[in-house]
Amino acid sequence: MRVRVLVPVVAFAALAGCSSNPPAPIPSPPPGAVVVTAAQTRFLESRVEAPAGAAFTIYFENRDSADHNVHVWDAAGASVMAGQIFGGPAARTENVPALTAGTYRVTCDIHPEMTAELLVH
Amino acid sequence: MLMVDGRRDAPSVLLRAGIVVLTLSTAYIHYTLGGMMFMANAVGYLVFAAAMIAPLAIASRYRWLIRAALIVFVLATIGGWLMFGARYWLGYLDKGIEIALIALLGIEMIRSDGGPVSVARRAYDLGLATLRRLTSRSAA
Repeated sequence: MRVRVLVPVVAFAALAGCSSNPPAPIPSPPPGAVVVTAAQTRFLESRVEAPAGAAFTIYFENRDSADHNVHVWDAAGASVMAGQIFGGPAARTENVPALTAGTYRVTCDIHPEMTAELLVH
Repeated sequence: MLMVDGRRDAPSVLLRAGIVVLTLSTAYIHYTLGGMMFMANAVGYLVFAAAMIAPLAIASRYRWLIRAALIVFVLATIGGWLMFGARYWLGYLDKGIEIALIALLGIEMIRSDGGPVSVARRAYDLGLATLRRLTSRSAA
């Protein structure tokens, strides 16, 4: 009888314990890129800076196995750039169009509690 | 031979097995997403999966309520995703699993409990009886 109760618990634990292949080495950030890092379901950088009036790149490193992305929003709440969602440990470079000076919000689409500030000046 | 709440027929066993597998699948997906909210959701699904097959007299007696509560839980999860969730492949896959789960729960509800109207009436009667018991206890 007890076995039937344990079935979902054991199955869940087995699924949770599944390991994938060793992760590919994470490339270094390209020169001049804005670095944003996700670890333990938060952005390690609370504020990052970028130049105004010129396109730039965000080098986003996801150190979690959970999926994350970077999504940049302007002060009015309009989406400026939505990066691809991916699981870690891995990194991606996202292209951001030229922005006017100001403060932008960086979030993760999956975890709204993950936020950072992008200061463009 | 496996038995589901007194039933030994293959459709009943397969239906319940399907419900448990889908519940565990969505629990696992939420677990992999990390963060407090998703972890709480995964634990919720895990508890429901266990409650759906727990061979305890009380669980068996209130299986109709557990089933209904799981439907509400899944609907709330889908609602949360519609309002705040990320639109990407894992989200769509999970919603597909959850919709299939609701379908199986609905079939089981019709087969075992006589359908949602009957369940609503039972829940109302249970709520009323509980309220009466509480008020008579506080009056004594």
